Amino acid sequence: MYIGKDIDRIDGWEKVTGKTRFVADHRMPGMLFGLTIRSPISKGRLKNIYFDNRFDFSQVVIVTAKDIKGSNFIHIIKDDMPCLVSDRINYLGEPVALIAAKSPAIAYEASRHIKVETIEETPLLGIEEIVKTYKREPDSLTYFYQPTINKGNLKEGFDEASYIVESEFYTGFQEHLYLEPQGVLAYQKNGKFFILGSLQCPYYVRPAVAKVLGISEEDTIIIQAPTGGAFGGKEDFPSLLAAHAALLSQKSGKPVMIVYDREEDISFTTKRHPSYVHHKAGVMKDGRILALDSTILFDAGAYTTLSPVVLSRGTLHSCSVYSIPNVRIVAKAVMSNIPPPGAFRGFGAPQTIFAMESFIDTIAHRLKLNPYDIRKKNLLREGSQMAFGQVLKEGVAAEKCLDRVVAISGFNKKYESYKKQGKKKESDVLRGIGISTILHGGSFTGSGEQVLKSRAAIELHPDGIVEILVANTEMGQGMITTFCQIVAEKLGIPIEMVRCPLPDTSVVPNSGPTVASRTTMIVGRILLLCCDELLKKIRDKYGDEVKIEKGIVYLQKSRRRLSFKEVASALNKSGRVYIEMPYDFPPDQVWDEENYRGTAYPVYSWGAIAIEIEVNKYTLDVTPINLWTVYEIGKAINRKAAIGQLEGGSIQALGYGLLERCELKDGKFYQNKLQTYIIPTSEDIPEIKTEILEVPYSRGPFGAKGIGELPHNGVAPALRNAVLNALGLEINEIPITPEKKSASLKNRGLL
Amino acid sequence: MIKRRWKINSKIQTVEFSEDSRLLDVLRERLDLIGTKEGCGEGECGACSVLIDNVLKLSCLILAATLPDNTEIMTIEGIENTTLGKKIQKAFIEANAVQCGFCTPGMIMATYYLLKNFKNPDNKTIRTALSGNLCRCTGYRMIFDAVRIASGRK
Repeated sequence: MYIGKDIDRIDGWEKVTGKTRFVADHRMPGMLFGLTIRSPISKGRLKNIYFDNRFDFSQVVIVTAKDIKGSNFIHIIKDDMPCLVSDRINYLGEPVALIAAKSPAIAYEASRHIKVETIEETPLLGIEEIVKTYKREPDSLTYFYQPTINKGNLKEGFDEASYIVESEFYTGFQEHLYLEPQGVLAYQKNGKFFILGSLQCPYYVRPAVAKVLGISEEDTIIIQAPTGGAFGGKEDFPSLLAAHAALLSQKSGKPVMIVYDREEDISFTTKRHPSYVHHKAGVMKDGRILALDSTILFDAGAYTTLSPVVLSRGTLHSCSVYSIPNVRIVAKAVMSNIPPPGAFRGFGAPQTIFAMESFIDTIAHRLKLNPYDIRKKNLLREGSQMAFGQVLKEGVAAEKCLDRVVAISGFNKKYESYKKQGKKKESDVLRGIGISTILHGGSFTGSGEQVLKSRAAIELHPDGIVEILVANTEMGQGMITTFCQIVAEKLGIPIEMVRCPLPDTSVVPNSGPTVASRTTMIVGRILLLCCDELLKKIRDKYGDEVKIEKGIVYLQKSRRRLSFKEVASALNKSGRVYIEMPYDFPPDQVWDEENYRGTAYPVYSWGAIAIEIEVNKYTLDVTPINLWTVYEIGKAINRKAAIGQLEGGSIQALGYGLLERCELKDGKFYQNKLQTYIIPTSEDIPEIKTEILEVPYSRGPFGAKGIGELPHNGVAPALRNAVLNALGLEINEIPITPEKKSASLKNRGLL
Repeated sequence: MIKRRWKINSKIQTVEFSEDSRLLDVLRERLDLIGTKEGCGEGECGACSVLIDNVLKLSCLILAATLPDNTEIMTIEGIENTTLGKKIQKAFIEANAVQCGFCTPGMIMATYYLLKNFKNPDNKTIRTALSGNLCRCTGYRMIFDAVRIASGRK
């Protein structure tokens, strides 16, 4: 009835008419506007906060670390990030004090009369500096996490190989650039603290705020406001921002709103971790990879935050879709003096998959093999064992995706013809085509879901409305519509009878964060379990077999028919019909964190990408012409919503590979405005053709697997491989700007 | 304070604001027309797009005091009451051109302005007309589809 269909967004009309109230669209009586005073240095100590008495500070509220009644740490994984600096400074822009005033203008005027006085020390800045130090003195660096993987016998693998191929890869920062900047509103009512915010994970914000305020979690209520894009950027950061607003509200007794402007948002919120990957492979003449020795470094910034789990996912995805018998991977999340990078769609995988999918083309290029053939020689298939020991049991679709994308893009013919074009001089424009093949593990890594113990609920109201109660958040991806489809389909009722309000932690159970491509796959499954329970209740009530179609309940044996509303009303007579169920963690998903081995993810989604580009011979400007993507996602619950996710992710990944330069200059992001941080516009995108393949997952709701992050994994390396095809240049750093191509040409004496 | 009499969404209204107010602030703070969004405040993202005397403008870059009496302003809140506007809004939903919804009001204003001036724009014209409006969710193709549906071309 609803599954696999193009269902219109339930929140669509509100959004197209501009009626949706995002957090910045709220006002409360007596509300103050908050502002953050930040550290002017990257590393050192706070000496003093100087208040210039030419400004009348009685008109504003000031909060410093001394005002914190609870703990001065933001609870994420390890509580090491201060809410406000009290002594040590670890990055430029670290929050030192907070101001609230009746208007943003007064708060700004106050900020101009506050001086943060510091003692400066030498910071560690930038992935290049980290790599240099790592090669010279690895023990002088601080690591937040350092997993290693060993499989087979590396030495034997290299000894048997015909060739040794080696290369280094770098990826830069990427800013999420959700269109709605970060924002929260903190207020108090009946002795409780409320946070209304643009956020992904209400149950991450709740303990973080409670600990800082020194109050109980029950007295801390988090409500999600409609969220204008997030992409991981509103996973961890809102915990800090909400704590700031809550502190100002606690001290002033008034509602306090903090909404960042774009420059503040780009400058001081999380980004994708910059990475360095070194690959050394032992390869047979036919392209089979026998051995792989890899080093992975992520610039993890000033505090632990989510870096261990980001690096973990990156490490586990670093062999991409290839089955390699002998592997060693050494990975490290390195502390430095930049604002902590955080979650971003793909969560470490886009970095390491960029390196591996580029590396495989490097091998092909150097050994004069075809990129399609070398992939076919090494692909993971059903029964393959991954580097960390997981044996793939079901739905391995890498080959299906690859074959399909190669067919629809005409890859092989174009690749061979473009390879030869360099010799012809007549055209100013060269063409290139590149491919990549990818995977993405659905839900939390390892035993993460077991620790989370997610619970979701449905409630049947007397009027027949079924309400979905989850802590998961709609941030554009279409979760509300998808969940309503799942529940309506399972119960056999019209979708109009299902509601899925935005979460409020005083109402909804903790169904976990909206991250890790887990929402449909994991929480969707719990909702099905809830529906089963409700159907059982109905059966028990009437002592009959029950079939529900289009909201009509057919009692099979007694041959009665009732409306769903009548049934709802009857069931409610004996009390509230509220059904809450836990996630039934798959018993065969065993992960050994100590030895870093086992089933890292219950299932993977797959994909293959081909991109065709034009390169101007003189400016070295790259124009993407065609983008073909084939993604295998188990089952698309809502077809157009799924395509929306896949295309949106693909274009965000295109920006990552081609345009989105974000450089550190003396500890500051040089591109910190929309004038300089460039994301794709309607004029920058190629023609896109997206195909969905469906190999249903046995435990997914209606077969569905994770989808949100997958499309971010493959476009950047495919683009890099297209540049290699067009120019014969191995460019191993993204974004691939004309400057990088020109430098590479110069290095080879070609310019 | 400055006082102006403008025609906002076909209704004549008197509004008072401080000298340094941007049009965006006046719309949002004085008139509660919150459909007009601030995405960057520097004229790059297009989320604050409105029509001023039937021309598409960025309200974050306009000092409200520079608009004289009798200026006609149309925001997303006024779009629903026009035949073309409603058609565009429906097309955006049909084509799944909406995800988070933050760029959507500005994107619809830009589409409205395009289709007011070009009945049946080709693909290149659509791309150019929307190039001042950033969307981070959709990847744009579905927005192009929405424009084509609204223009009667499938």
